[in-house]
Amino acid sequence: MVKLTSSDGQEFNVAEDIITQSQLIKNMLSDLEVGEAAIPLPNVTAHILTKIIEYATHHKDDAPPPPEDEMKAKSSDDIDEWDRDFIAVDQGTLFEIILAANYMDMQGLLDLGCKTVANMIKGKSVEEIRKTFNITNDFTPEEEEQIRKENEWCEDR
Amino acid sequence: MLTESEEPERKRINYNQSPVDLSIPLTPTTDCPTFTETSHFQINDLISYYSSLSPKHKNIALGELLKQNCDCSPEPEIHNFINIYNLLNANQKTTALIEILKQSSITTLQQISCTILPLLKCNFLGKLPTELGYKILEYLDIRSIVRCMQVCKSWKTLIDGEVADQAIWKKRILLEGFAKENQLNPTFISDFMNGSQSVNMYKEFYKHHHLTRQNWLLGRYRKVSFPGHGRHVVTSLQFDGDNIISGSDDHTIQIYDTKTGLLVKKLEGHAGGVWALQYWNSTLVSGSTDRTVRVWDMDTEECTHVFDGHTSTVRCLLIITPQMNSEGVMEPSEPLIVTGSRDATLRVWRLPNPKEDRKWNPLTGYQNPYFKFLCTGHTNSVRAIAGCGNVLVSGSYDTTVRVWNLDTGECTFTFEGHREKVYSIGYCHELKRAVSGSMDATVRVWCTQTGVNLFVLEGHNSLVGLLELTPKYLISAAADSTLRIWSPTTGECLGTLTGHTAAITCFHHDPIPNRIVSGSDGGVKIWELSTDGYGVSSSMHNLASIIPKSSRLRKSLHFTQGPNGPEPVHGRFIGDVVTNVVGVWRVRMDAYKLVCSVQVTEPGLEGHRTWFEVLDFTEHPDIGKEIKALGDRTSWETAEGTPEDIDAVDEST
Amino acid sequence: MASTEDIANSVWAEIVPTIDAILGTVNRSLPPDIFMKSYTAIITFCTATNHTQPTTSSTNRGAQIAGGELYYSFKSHITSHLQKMVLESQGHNDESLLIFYSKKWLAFTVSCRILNHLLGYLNRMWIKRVAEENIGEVFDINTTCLILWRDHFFKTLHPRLLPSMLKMIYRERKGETIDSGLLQTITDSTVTLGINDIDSKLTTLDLYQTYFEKEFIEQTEIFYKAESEIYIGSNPITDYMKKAGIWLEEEENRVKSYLHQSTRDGLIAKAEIVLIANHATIIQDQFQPLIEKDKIDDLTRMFGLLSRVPSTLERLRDLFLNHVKQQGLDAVRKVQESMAEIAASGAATPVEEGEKPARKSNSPLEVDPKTYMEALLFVHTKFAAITVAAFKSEAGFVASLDKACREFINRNAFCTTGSSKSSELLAKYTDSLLRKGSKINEDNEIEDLLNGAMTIFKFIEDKDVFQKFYTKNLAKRLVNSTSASDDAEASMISKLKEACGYEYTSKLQKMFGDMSVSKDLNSEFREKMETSHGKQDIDFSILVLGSGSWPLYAPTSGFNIPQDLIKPYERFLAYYQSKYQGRKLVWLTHLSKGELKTNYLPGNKTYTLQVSTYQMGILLPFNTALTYSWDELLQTTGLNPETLQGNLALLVKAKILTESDKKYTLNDGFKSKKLKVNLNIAIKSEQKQESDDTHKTIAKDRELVIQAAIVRIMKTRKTMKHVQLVQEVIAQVQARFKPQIPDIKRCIDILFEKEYIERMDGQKDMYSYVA
Repeated sequence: MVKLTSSDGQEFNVAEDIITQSQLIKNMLSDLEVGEAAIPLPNVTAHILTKIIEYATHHKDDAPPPPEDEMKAKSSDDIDEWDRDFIAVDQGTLFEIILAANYMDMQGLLDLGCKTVANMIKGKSVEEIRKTFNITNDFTPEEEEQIRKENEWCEDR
Repeated sequence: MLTESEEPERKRINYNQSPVDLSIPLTPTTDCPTFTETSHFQINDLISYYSSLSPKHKNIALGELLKQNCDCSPEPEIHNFINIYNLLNANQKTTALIEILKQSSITTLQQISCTILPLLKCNFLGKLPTELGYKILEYLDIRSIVRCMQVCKSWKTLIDGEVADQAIWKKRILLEGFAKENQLNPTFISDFMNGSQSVNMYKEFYKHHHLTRQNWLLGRYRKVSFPGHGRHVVTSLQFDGDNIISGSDDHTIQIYDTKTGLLVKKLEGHAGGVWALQYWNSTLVSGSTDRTVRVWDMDTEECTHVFDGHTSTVRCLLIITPQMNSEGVMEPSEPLIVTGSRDATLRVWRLPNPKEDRKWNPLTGYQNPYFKFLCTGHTNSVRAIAGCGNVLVSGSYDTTVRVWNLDTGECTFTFEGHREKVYSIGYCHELKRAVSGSMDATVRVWCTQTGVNLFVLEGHNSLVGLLELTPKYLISAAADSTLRIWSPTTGECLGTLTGHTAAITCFHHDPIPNRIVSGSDGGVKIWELSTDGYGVSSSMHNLASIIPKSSRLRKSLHFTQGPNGPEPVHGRFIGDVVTNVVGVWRVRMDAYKLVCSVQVTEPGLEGHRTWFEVLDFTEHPDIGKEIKALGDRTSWETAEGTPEDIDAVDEST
Repeated sequence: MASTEDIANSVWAEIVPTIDAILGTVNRSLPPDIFMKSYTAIITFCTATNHTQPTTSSTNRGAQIAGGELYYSFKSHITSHLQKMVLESQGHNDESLLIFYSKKWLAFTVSCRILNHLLGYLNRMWIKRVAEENIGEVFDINTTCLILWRDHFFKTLHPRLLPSMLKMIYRERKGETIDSGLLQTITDSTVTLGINDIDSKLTTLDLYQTYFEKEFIEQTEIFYKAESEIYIGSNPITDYMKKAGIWLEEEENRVKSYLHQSTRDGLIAKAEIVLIANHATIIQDQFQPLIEKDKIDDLTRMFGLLSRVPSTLERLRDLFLNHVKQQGLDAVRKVQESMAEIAASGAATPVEEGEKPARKSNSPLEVDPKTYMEALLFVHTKFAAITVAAFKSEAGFVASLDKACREFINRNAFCTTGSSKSSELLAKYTDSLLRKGSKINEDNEIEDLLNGAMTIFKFIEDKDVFQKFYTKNLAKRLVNSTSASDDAEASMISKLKEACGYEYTSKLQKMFGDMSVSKDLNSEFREKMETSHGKQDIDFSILVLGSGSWPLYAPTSGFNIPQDLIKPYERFLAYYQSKYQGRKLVWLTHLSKGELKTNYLPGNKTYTLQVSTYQMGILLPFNTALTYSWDELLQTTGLNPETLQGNLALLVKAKILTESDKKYTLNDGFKSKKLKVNLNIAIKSEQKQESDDTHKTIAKDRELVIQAAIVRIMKTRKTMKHVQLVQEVIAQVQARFKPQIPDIKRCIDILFEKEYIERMDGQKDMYSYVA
């Protein structure tokens, strides 16, 4: 069992074989004599840490992900059902999860998060994208027109 | 809904055997011990105060609470309410709010959710660390990426900055095979964009190639066509950005300027038709019915070496250049020429360097220092060869296929099985597999390590005269007017290319641009190799941003439904590019150009003539222009050339 | 908003203590919360987007990745840390310096790993990105640390480090025990530090080689130069060979215990030069004495040592060759001497050995084949054994052995008339083995002896001479049915076939064929006769031998078939002609024989006389009269005078007949201990002459072989230079015999006359083929 403390001071006891999906924790356990001491995670709230543990628990028997191949075509269509349900949360939580996964160095979860965001963008018009993420267009009409022109080449012809 | 979202969590955590109890937030936490006694009172106080408000006020109050700004509020009681609320610490606020919501009416909650949801939205690309932004973009199709740039300033910054050029665009270029990693450096790019410097070099480079690819898919090109070799057959054709080299049964080899279509050099010396040629750097090797092999210096046009030995026509020829094997040893140890002849033998020669090595011809001496091996065993004409490293594969009219070791000259395997003459051979070093096409209408796949006949591919119903093998695809072309795409690893027929109306006379495929070009009586057709072949995941979005709306491909299926999910489609017809010609001798392509030698009928001249057509699909303002060039008329212009058809002004249509 | 630098500096300030803690600890005692605090600080700094807004300057517009500032501060921090350590090292020297270094190294590598994790986020983001573009400038944290160690610590200490290492190794070579683990740690570190600045994933051995190996090997050379000189100066070479072996062994172990295995070849090679090549001559000089005293162990050691420097073996091989050759020649000379004595003492010899040429001749050079062959074999066997035991059958030595044997077997005291003598003797020897009365009955024994014969055969140059004689003897054995065992004959032939191919033994096999055919023929003929003419009074049998394969000649003398034999003779003729039309039978009466019973002696005592057909022809007439004059016998037998003379002399000597002035009378007083009396004894004069014309025929055959070869060659090559042609010919016929250049010349001339080839006009000694 490994002791973790969330940013808001909660303690979590997690089985080592689960939490070592976090490369960060894994390294610490191998580098330092952690023993009974709790590992503080000042960037992760209890709410998010709970989600993370849930994810790690579900995936604890997965084969370790292959080292990222820069030159491989990436696809976001391959999310399995459990993951889809798991990640079906409000954007705020999703944002937190991505940050936490990045912080704790959890490849699988980080990918899942990014894929999910990508899927929110895919195939949408500029305006739709703005709506999806509640973004205000901060271009002047002139700027916007110019940018549109610059990028026409990629629109369908 | 918040409460709902909490219930299941508690369950999961117990299931996790973790001691966490979510009621903890209600108990004071370390950051504000002083509130210990007072806190509960304050929450209850707040709640009761809230319930005392009128429904109308309740709404406003809640709205204000959620927006978290208290000063703007007109109503004193609400002002007061907010103040009390603000005395609470974070956890207490959460609890208090939940309590309050529990007491609110549906209508209130509905109005509230409208206020909440936008607040919960999140500008990911704006707020996430840059690297994570890139990571997300990696999953997007090119069109979506470009649209993201137009969303807002921060997104634009993320996508078209200098770093982004590396992180996003360079990676795309490599993925989609627009350039090779080793060549892809700033100097190369700026040279390519003829010197124009910009922070988005890679983006520009990508754009250029993206559009060029679309031109292929739309059949948009600049065309230069010119006559050559009079009425003779063009037996072999090879080209690069500068030169087109053609061998013909008129005994000559001719070199044309790829851009202008002018005859620049004419290599004469063979006493018979040239049936095979290949060049490497500036060394050109040719084989002829005169039974000799000749080596030429393409710069000086000089024939520096003449090898004799074959006692009949040299039918096929291959230059094999050294490459590192798995043990880090160069194989073969030196560049080689392999020739296959109608005399049923193969000969292996050391490839001379015309500029440095001692010249040679049969009269020079008794023993040819460039000769390495004589490979005997076939009992009839050697029709086709293929090879790489130390492996050479030969196919013969004796119906067998033989594998030779170029280090020792020994025959390592003899493959028997074809019932008729073997006409075509392919070899893939990565797969250690050879393929052979035969008069018996089958294609056979052999393992050159174990000598096993892996598959007999049936489907063509006449002579399989042409084959090309790459690690992922085996392409066969037959006299039955079809081409077929096979998987060399499973032997499955992935696709059949129908549309030609006569025997396929030539074709060329390249997995990187994901294309096949094929020639037959009547013209040249372009095909897509695979919907999965563009280097990016073959999702609808990706295909939609690669294949233009007006392309024929849009109307055809992108996928077929396989047992385990959708499967890519192979060999979709893209279009006809060279039409109303009598026949097509040879066709070759690279990323930008298609070059073919065709047989045409010229107005005013009876009989057929040989012409070359160069289609340049590169994105260019002049796209669509067609130019008739001089070709080899420079040589007979005075003889029979008439002003209008030798004059090289464009006759664009 | 604070500038990126300020924030970076404050973050840096925050994590420095942690870094120092990690650098300071060898035991992993850093508390997790400290670690996390710093890790978090770094990641927060790197991921915060607000302070990485684009600046207006065009060079770095667009989104930036934070982290560079931290990376560079980290680098300089580690650098100064290492520089402090350099100062620390000042106090240490020699062994203590080595201990200091390896302690620090081991600790540092652990720290690197932890730091690599502490700054892991830099690795994953900023470094990953920047490294792509600035190859050779930015590396992941761990590599960065190692490179800094290499450049700021290792290289500064190196001038003191290396000598200390070499000193330690010197002490070990001198026999002291040292802490090899220490050296291993250090050499390992140089390997680990061999980071390729272009692709940090690859490590090269450059550092190890330039900063350690080079000097180390030079020292090795110096060391062993001195040591070996001293040792040789005060010890016998045999001991030195032992010592050198040990030294090399030690170096091998040295590589295993604390060097990189890549050093092995270079090191050993150097040691071999110093220890072996440089002293090669002195060692080689020991060869002669050692082999003379059969000192196998020392020879084995010498070979083992010298074979490490192949070039030094050449001389050994020559020495060996000459030695074996000498031994061979001596052995032969001994035989010769013993022969001479025997000849001189002219010792009386038992009758049945009467036909052995050695006895018959009065020339001292005639030799008993057995003794001769055994002598040759003994020498070969002895040195073959040594070649295996001491020289591990190394190809070169095997060659020397063969060459030597070929020399003393083909050119020795007995081969006065040329190398063919040995072939002849060998043939005789094998004959004596295969003939009845060789007193060998054990199958495996004869097998061994035949193998021995084959060993010699392998070396004989005139295989055709052997063939000739062997065929002759075989014919004799078969015709006179004096062959001891068919199996032995068969096995010998298969051996020859193995050695020289089918063509060489085909004749021999045909001969056996004829024998069995004849057997059937006889029985068939006998049946036929019995059915057609009833029981035969004369037991009559014949051998039909293909003239092509048998070295037999038609009789020199005429002969009238005796009356009593006419009937079967003619019947057989008739029978055979009917069986095979148009075949010509030549009756080799001089080789045929028969038996006669005596009924004329008092008390009708019956002896069986074993006689040649000629003798039969002489004796049978005495059934009708008791006395005949010379002329009468000459007339009735139809023999030529000398043959008649020879046989009569024999019969008279055997007291079957008595002679008184040219009249021959049957001796009715004949007596003999044995009931069977063998009168069929070869007549001496025939033999010597036989072997002579055998030699003649050989010469003739050889000419034909050479001519055939020339024609064959010219046919394919069309034109050829004289020298080339001669070489080709030699190459082609060698298998059968060693042609003499003059012979070849003669053959060429013959072919000119026969107009197979002609001189190409204009070109000097260039021939061309005439189709």
